[in-house]
Order: sequence, then C-alpha cells, then structure tokens
Amino acid sequence: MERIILHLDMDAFFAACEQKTHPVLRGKPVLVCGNPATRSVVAACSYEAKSYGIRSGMSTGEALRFCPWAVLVRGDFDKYEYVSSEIFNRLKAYTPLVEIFSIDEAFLDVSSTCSFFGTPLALAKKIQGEIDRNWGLPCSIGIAPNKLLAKLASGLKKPKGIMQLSGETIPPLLENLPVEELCGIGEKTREALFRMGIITCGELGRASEETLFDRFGIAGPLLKRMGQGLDESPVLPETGRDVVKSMSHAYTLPRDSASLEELASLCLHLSEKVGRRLRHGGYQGCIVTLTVRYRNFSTFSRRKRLGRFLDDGYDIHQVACRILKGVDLSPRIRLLGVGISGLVPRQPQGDLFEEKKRRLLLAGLDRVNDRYGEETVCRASILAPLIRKTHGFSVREKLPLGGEDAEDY
Amino acid sequence: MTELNDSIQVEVLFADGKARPVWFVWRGRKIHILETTFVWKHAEGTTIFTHFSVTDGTDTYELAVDSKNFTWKLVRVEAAWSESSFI
Repeated sequence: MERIILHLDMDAFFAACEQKTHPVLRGKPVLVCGNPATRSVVAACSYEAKSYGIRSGMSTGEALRFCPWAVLVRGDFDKYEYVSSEIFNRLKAYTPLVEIFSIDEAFLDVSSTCSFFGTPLALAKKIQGEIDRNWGLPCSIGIAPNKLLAKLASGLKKPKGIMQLSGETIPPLLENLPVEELCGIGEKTREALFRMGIITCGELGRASEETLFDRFGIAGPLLKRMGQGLDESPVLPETGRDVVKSMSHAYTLPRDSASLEELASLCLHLSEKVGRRLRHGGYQGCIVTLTVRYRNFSTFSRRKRLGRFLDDGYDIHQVACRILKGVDLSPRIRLLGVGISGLVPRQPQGDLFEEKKRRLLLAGLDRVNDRYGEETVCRASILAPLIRKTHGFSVREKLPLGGEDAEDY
Repeated sequence: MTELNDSIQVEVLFADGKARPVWFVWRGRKIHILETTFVWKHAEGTTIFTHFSVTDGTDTYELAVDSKNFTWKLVRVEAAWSESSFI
C-alpha cells in the first residue's frame, strides 16, 4: 500500500503569531528579531517583508536597508513554543504518527487513518481550516507518498497552499528541479554535485551509483534515490526519535566586542544555559565547542575533548574560556556560541565529599530556578554591570512573585 | 508599545470551555474588550501565566493571569497612534 504522508508547514510562523497578537501589524512588513533596540538578526519575517527580499538570518540593519519601514518585533519564543505544541497536539486527533520536525513543521503519516476523513486532500483542507479557526494562523500542507516529497510539496504553494504529489506528477516535477530544493541537500552537497555536472534532481536520479558512492560514500546511493523522489524513512512520533546528540546556545552581541572580560561573561551565561539543559535532560557531555563569528561574518568552531563528563555550567565555562583565550579577538566578535556533545546519560557520582556538596548545590539551584523561573539564582558575574549595560540579556522583566512589583535582575 | 505590570480588575466570561475577558479596569478607566486576538501560556518556574492579547477596537492590550492566585496584570499597551517603528 502506498503511504500517505502530510507535511504541515506553518507560514511565516513567528511573524504570523505577532500579526495575530497585534492587529496593527496585519498587512505590514514585520521582522521578528531579538531586542529591537539593539542589533540582532531576523528570526522570521512576514510575507509582506519577504516581498522586499528580506530573509531569515539577515541582520536587522541589512533587512531595514531593503525595507526601511518594516516593523521590528521582539520575538516571544515562549509564545511560539506554546502555540506550536498546541497545534501539534491537535494533529494527533488525525493520526498517532506525528513527527515534530521543527517548531513550525510536522510530518503526519495518515496512511491508516485518512479514509476516516475522506481523501488526503479533504483531510489536508480540514486540518488547514481547523488551524485557521482555532488559532487564526495560516499553514501550507504537502501531500505525497513519502516525507521527502511531502516536504517539497508544502513549499511549492505557499502561503495557505495545499499541494499533492502522486505517481505521474512526480517525474516531470523532479526533472528540472534544482537539487538544493530537496530537504537534506545543503550548500556543500549542492556544490559537490555541481562540480560533477549534476544540477537537477532528474540528473541526480540518473547519475551512476558507483560515481556517487566514490564521491559521497554511503550517502551516494541515498542521494540518487532522493533524485528519483524515493524515501522510505518512517514518520517517527516523539517517543521513537533519536536521543539528543548535542546541546548549544549562541548569542549575537548588540555590538562587536574584542573584550575578553565581556566575552568571558557571555560565555558563562551561555555555559550555564547549556548546563541547565544537560541536567534537565539527564545528560553529561565530554566535548565542549566554542563557536565564534567575527564582524565580517566569518565563522569557525573550536572543540576540546575532555577525559571526563560535564554537566555543570561553570565547568563548561572554564573549558570554553580556555578555548576563547586562544582565539584572536582583534577582528572583534559578533556572535559567540557554546555547545557540548559526546552526550551520555548522567552517571551516578562518586561519594567524594566535595563532589557530593557540589551536586547538592547544583540540585538546590536547579530546584529554585525550576520553581521560580530561569536565572532566579545565578552566578553574580553574569550580572556584571558591564554586561547589563551593553548586552541587555541579563535584564529580564517578569511577572512578580507573590504580588511584589516586577523586578529586573 | 509600553511595558507595564499594573494590577487590574477583569470580568471574565467562561463559555465553551474557554475563558474570555470582557472588560477590565485600569487606572480608573473601564475598558471594554471588543476582541481577544491571541491567547498563549508561559511558565515562570512552576507558575503558569495565561496571556490574552485583546483590543478595544483602538488600542491593543496584553493581559496576563497568574494561574495560582488568579491575579490579573496589564503587561503591555500598544496605542494605535504610536509612531514607534518597533514593538
């Protein structure tokens, strides 16, 4: 039996949430970013903004050169996560096989359940209508026999589109489609294929398997199948997915910095966030990665593999800072990222007195922050006045605890 | 966009399994809600706050209710006449 896979893609999700929240933004070019008062990057933009050539990932300065009258909106990721989880939970009414692909994309395998709702097209319309009715948000849906083609289809008719790809419609579509349109073929693979004279999916599908194997190893035959529009990968509900392999946080500075003191403080902030996530997920990691982006956008990462496993943000910070001290800061840094990989489930700790004390302290801090919110208790150096003034990330307004006034910290 | 954190009194209609604010009193002024434009929740530790973006037909307001003690706050106001290019 041929599978029926739906790929649901929320259209300009973050921007659409903001346009729904603020009626005054509807019909306007909207850029969702970090703090609009400082420099940041465009996390998402409305279709009105896209029509000016603005794309996600641009700096807000660059985006405003394309469209000076665009409205900058500070992203509220709690809001987007909540709405996303509500929508994706609702999708489980149509099939238990829902794979959350990202905050605004999901795959549904409706092969066994579609007949309850009529045709695949009727089901897609029903889902689209339900999301519009309940949340007032637009989405596009691709329908195809596999995930690769369903994802391709959802992008063909945006926004608010439904596109079905089946049997006879697939080969003509793939024949002249650039390979980079397929999910999984990035810039480097595209360049490598281009050097082999392969530009379209049609050409990729006809390419020699041996030649592809020689160039890409075991991924070669897979690429050929992708060019033919074939993909057997299953839709994996949350419980069947791979374990987490790495965790990281990055931050774009409001202004380029060459100050080791500032960058070390930011490094601690990011390391603490990574540490919190590690402990929350019950992991430890042994490879610390520092990512640096200079003001000219050249980016590189340096890693340090350790002989022990870490889950304390301060320990991660110490390793990341050792790497940072070896980095040339003179070209001034625009973005800093801290990550950890080589993850394993957290092991029981030894009974050494100091280690036990440290564990108890971390557990206590986690309990306070779990109860009252992130960074209710944090290391004082994160709150250094220098960072408060220049970076702004440590000043956070929150609803009061116990009826007291709002506080900055 | 003006960031606030003012305590407010709110009348809420519970219907169809949903809560819908009807009016609220802010700084002595009673504001009638014409439309709830968006609803979402966020957790601050173990406390869940439900946010309602509402409009009186002119301005947009963000209200938040603390699920533990049912206290309401006016979190933000966005005046329709605002000239600001960011919110």
